[in-house]
Amino acid sequence: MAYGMQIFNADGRKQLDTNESYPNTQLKNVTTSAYSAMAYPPSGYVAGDLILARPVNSPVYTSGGYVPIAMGTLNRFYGSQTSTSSSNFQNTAGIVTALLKNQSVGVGSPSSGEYGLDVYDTNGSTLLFSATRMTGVRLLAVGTVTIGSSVTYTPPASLDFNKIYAVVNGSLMNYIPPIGFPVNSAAQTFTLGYHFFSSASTPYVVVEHKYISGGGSATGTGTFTYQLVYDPT
Amino acid sequence: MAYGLEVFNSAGTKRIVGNTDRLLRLVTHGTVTVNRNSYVDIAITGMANDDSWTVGLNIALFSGFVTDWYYTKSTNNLRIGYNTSASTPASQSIPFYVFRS
Repeated sequence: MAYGMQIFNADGRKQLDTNESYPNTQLKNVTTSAYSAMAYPPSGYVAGDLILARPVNSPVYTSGGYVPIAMGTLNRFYGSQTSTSSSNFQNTAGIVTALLKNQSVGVGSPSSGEYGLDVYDTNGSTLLFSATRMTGVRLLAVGTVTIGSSVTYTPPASLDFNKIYAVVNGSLMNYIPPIGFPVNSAAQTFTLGYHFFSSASTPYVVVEHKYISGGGSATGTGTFTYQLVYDPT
Repeated sequence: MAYGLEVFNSAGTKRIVGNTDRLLRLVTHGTVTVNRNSYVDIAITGMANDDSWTVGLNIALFSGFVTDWYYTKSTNNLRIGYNTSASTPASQSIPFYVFRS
């Protein structure tokens, strides 16, 4: 007889499975960073964490009407005051970041009289899921975008758009202006990231993967892995 | 009859897990070194090429050829590769993350 617990959601997706022993994830270190210091990775990051980011609730927009969310250069998010060229968009409103860690680490003992479900691995010590001591995230969208392509995600109206985070590990945005001397080089634009159209009547997110050099857009098979998650709290 | 797990906060006012939610579960993570125009195979028990498996790659910071990374999911295997004909580094290290949902 097998022991343990399996829980499937209404769509047949596994929410818990002690046979697999994969810990669920928890949302930690939610922080608002000012334009002057949008550090990448954010404070508290350790190897294995996913880095999440979203626009602040009252953002500033590009001329295209969106907030770009991605890693920039010089260990800053794109748009930070200290993230290289002044030709880049300046996200003066700042950014909200968070870390997605697994639920098997950094867990304190339950408080006296605490209620809720905790599920441990068969070793009795590795926590796979805790309903009350940590909060996971809901996966909204996941996939890959090949170079030269984009994907649009429109969340259901029931969700609070200001609680949608983009996973920015592997993202990158930068603009390099053209150089005329001593060697001619064309302007280059890298976009592997997210455009949050927060102010649209129906807000949405566009995942972009583009490399433009000298006005020409490259195509290919390179992959940008994207994920959008939701903070349910 | 609906299946699934529903969890509410201690006040009973906020549902923090719903019975239709897909939850991210961390399977493994690590770092591999991949040679230019080559790939590395990583054994992942149970992996399949379906949408319950999710992979994240943490590409190299600011290279003009960052878009040449790719991954391929297959039975019990994850392949991470790096294709370019340009003069990029002969090899690069890339952190990866494997999730199920």
